[in-house]
Amino acid sequence: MSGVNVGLAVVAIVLAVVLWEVFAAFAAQVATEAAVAGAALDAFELEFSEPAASHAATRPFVASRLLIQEIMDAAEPVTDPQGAVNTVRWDVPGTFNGNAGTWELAVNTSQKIIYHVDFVR
Amino acid sequence: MWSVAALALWRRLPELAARLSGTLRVVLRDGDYLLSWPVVAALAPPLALLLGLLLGAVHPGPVFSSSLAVVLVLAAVAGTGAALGCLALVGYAVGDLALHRHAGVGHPYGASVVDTLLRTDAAALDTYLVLAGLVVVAPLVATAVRQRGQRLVRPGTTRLAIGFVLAAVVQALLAYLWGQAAAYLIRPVWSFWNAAPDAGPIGILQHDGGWIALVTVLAVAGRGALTLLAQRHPASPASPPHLRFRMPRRWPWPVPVALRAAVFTLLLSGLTGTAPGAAVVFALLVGLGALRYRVVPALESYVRVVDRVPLVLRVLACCLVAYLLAVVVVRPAVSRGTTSFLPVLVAVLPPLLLAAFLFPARFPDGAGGAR
Repeated sequence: MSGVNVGLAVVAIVLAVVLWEVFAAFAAQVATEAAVAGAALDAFELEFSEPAASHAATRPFVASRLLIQEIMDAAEPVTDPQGAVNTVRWDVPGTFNGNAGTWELAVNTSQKIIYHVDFVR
Repeated sequence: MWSVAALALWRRLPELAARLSGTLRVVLRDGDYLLSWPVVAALAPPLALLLGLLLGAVHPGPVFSSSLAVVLVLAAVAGTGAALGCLALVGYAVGDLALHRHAGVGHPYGASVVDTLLRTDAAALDTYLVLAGLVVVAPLVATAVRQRGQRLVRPGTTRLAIGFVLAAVVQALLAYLWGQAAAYLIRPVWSFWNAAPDAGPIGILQHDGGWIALVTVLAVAGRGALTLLAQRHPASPASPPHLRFRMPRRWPWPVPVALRAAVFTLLLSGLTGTAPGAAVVFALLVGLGALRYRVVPALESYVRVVDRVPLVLRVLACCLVAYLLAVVVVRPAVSRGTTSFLPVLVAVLPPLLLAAFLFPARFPDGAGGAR
């Protein structure tokens, strides 16, 4: 063992284990980078509204930026049917764990807030 | 045809992998900017796999770090993304296990099958885990930090440039530190057979970390340039749109806790030295896992507060505690001339205890609410 580098080595070993330990949490923050024509919003610019975030326990896919970006990239949004100001909505057909249904996403594009995300069978 | 193959590799394969792990899906998609060029996107994954296979088959010595060139090539692949790094790692492991002409340490004449399995193959598995830190963990963490960090800048070329400067710094720093850690973590190749470690492979990791970091910076810069070009060649969205998403089954908490403890015990086996020592470390890690999965998540108000602290800051807090312990515990021991790795192990465990409190595992496997 070299006395000079021992502090660095201990930090590096701890980092090696801790990064493995929280690797899944870092992975949840990674979104797709495939460039798609017409895609205008970046999942990383969006924050969750309190009601949307509160569904994280029952809708664990909420935390996946990859999914949010893919919903937005999949199709053109429409103006929110419920009439919320500056809000657009995506309804994208697809599957969740093999079950067919629709991915729903509503975003306030001026405040960059996700109001709603869900999968409906 | 190329588009079909590219989508199969960058979309369908990750979705299939998601049956096992949501994190693996993200790993296998890190690098999907290549989809702007279907031919490249279709050819790059099999080429990365073949390159890994070749390196695993022909690398000199008992471990990847016997050759600096092998480490640098793998670091370059990792710079392009975690997906290609992961495939190169799989190729390397297959090539090393099945095709490499092993001789010397770990392969004594007349060794029993059990000895080979528990000493040679377990040590090889440990080296693949260590290598995964360079080619899978580092690129994905750098991507996460970049994507999180660059949102503070307005969209455009400047954002991308700043983002990739950040990614290059993070990934190069991780690659450098990986070299310092790997020098200790690959010791089982020798220590499992009670042999003295070869100074060559360990010295390369300890002293050539700068080269590994430099190659990483160049590769990440290349990735940045390709990502910028990819934005000028956007692919059309699928028509009609159909979005598949899968979350793997959640196992009862003792399963991930025991699995993680086993993996980390193997990873740290270069420091434990003996089987009883490894058993103690395993028991301690199971205890830390139970804290992280069961005890801390029950402290709901605490978890709400800690979740507000950015992930990177929490990782840095663990590193700071590790450094202080190294100064207080390890340096004096080294000054006294100890040759034991016990002080290092003693310095490593408290930061892992801190990690159990800083990273409560409410949503295992990629669905964490961490910022």
